[in-house]
Amino acid sequence: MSEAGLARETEVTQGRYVYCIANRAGEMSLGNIGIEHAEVYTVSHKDIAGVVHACQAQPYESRNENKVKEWILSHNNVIDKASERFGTVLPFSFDAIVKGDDDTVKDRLSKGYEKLKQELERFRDKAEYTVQIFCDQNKLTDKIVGENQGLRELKEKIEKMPKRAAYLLQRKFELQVKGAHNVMRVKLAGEFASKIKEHVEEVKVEEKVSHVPESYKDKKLIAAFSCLVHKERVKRLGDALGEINSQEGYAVRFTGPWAPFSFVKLGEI
Amino acid sequence: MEPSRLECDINDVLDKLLTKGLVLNADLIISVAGVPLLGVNLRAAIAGMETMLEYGMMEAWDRSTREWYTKEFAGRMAAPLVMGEEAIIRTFGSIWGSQGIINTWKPGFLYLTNNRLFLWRKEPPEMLFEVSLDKIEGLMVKKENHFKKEREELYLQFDCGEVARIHVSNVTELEQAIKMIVGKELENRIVIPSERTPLPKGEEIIREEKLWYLFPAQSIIGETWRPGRLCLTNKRLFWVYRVDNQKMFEVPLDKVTSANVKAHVLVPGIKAEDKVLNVAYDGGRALFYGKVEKLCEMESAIQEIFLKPLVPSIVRKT
Repeated sequence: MSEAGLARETEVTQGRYVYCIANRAGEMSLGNIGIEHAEVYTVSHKDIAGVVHACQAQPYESRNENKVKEWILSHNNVIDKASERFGTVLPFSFDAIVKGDDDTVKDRLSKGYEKLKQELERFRDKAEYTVQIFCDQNKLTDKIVGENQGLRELKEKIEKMPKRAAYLLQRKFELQVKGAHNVMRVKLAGEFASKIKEHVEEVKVEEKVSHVPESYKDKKLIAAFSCLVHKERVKRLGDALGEINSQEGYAVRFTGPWAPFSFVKLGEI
Repeated sequence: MEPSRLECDINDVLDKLLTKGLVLNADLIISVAGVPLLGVNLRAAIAGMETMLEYGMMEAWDRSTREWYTKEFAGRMAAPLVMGEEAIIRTFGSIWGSQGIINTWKPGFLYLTNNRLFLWRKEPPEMLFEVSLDKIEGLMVKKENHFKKEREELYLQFDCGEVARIHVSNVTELEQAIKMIVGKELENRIVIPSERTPLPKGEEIIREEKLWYLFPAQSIIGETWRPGRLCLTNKRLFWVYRVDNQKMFEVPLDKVTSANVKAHVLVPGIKAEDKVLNVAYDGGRALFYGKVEKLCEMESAIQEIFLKPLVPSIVRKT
C-alpha cells in the first residue's frame, strides 16, 4: 500500500465523494486536485474505476456562493483531468457521496459493472460539445418583416404617421414581430438541428439556457444544442458551424470537449 | 470553426454539474432531511426553483403550499349556501350601509335563494347582509340619484321595522323574484328613514345646498374651508359638516341681517375674484363658498324669506 493509502486508512472518514467513473484498471493517485484540495484517487474493480476523494459522510453545502462555485470548478477540473488520462469518463453530478469506504465503492462498481462498462464503451472516443447559435436581433426582424407582407405594410404606415399618433400601431407592430420571432426561431432551430445531425452521434436540444455570456448579450439566442461527437468528426461539425457563423448577423458559440454530462443514461447507480 | 473551452466560465459548468451527470442510488447516498444528494442550501444558492422541483427537492414544501392554496381558494369560491338551499338569483349587488361615521355602498354578490336573501363578499369573505325571506314585509322600487345619474334602487322593510337599500343591475327582476317567492302581499310604500337628524315639528327645509363653510380659527388651526350642506328652514339657517354630520353653524332667521353674494378679497384659500355668500347676523358673519349658481340660489332663497316673513319677529335692516 502506498504512503497516501496508509494515510487515508488512519483518517476517520466514512464517505467517498465520487467525481466520475473511468476506463481504468488499478489504483492511483491524481494528486490534491479535489474539492478543498482533497487527494483524488481511483478505486477500481476489474477494468473500471471510480474517481473519488475521501470525505466526511455529509454533503458539501454552504451559503457562500463563491465557495460553492469554487467547489464546482474543482469538481469539473477533476473530471477534465481524469478525461485527459483515462479517456471519456462517466461524469457525476455535484455532491454525489457514497456512504462508506473504498470497499463500498468497489462493491457498487462490481454490482453495476455490466451497465457501466457498456456505457463507457458507448462513449469511447466521443465527447460532448455545446453549440449555441445567436442571431442579430435587427437582422432577424428585417428578415421577418421582409417575408411578411402584412408587417411590411404596417411598417410603411407607421413611418408615414406622426410619431405620437403612431404609438399604438407601433406597439401592435412590435407584438406581431415578437410573435413572428418565436415562429422563426423554432423554424431556424429545426433547420440547424438537421444540419448538425449529419455530423454527430446524438443531439439534444437545450430548452433552457440559463446563462448567455456577456459578449453575446446584444444578440438573440436562437437555438442551443448538446452534441455527442466522435473525435474524428469534430472538425466536420466545426466546418458546418463555421458556415453558419459566417452568415451575416449570425454568431455560433462552440464549446467543448466536455464529459458526456447530457448523455449518460444510467439513471441512478 | 474550432471548439473551445477558453471562454467558458462558471456558468457553463454550473448547468452541467448541477442539472446533469450521474446520480447515486438512494441507498448509498447521504440524504438531508429526506432530500437526496445535494445540500439544500447549495441548491438554493445556485439552481433555480424549477430545477429543484425537477429533482424532487422541496416537493413536500411545494405540495403543502399547493394544498393550502387549493383549500383557501375553494373556500372562497363556494357560496355559503346551506343544505337544501337553492340559489335562484346570483348577481353583483351592493347595499347602503353605515361604517362608523361614513355611509357607503358595500359591494358583493347578492344571492336570492328559496329562503334567504344575502350579500356575500368573497375576498375577504364576509356576509355583508343577510335576511330570511319571511321577515320581509315591504318592498319598494325607487329612483335615486347616483353620481348625477338616476337609477332604480330597491328598498326592503323587515318585520323589525328596519329598512335596507339595495342596488343590483336588474332591479325589476329581483323585485319580481322576491315577490314570487315570498308569496304574500307586500307593503309597497316604505317610509325611508332619514339619515339626518329629523327636524322638529313645524320646521321644514326650504332650500339645501352643498357648500363650503369657512370654519373659524381654532387654537393653532387658522380659518379653514370645510365641506358640508347649508340648510335653510323656515326657522333657521344651519350648516352641517359632511364628515361627522354635526351642526357647526346655526343661526335663527330673526338674527340674520343680510345675505349677499360678492367677491371677498380677504378670504384665504380662494381666488380674489371668486364670489362667496356672506351671511351677516347679530354677532358676526359667516362665509360660504361653492358654485356661483348655488350661492345665488341660496342668496335669493334667504332674501325671499325676508320679503314674506314667516316668523313675524324678523327685524329687517337695510
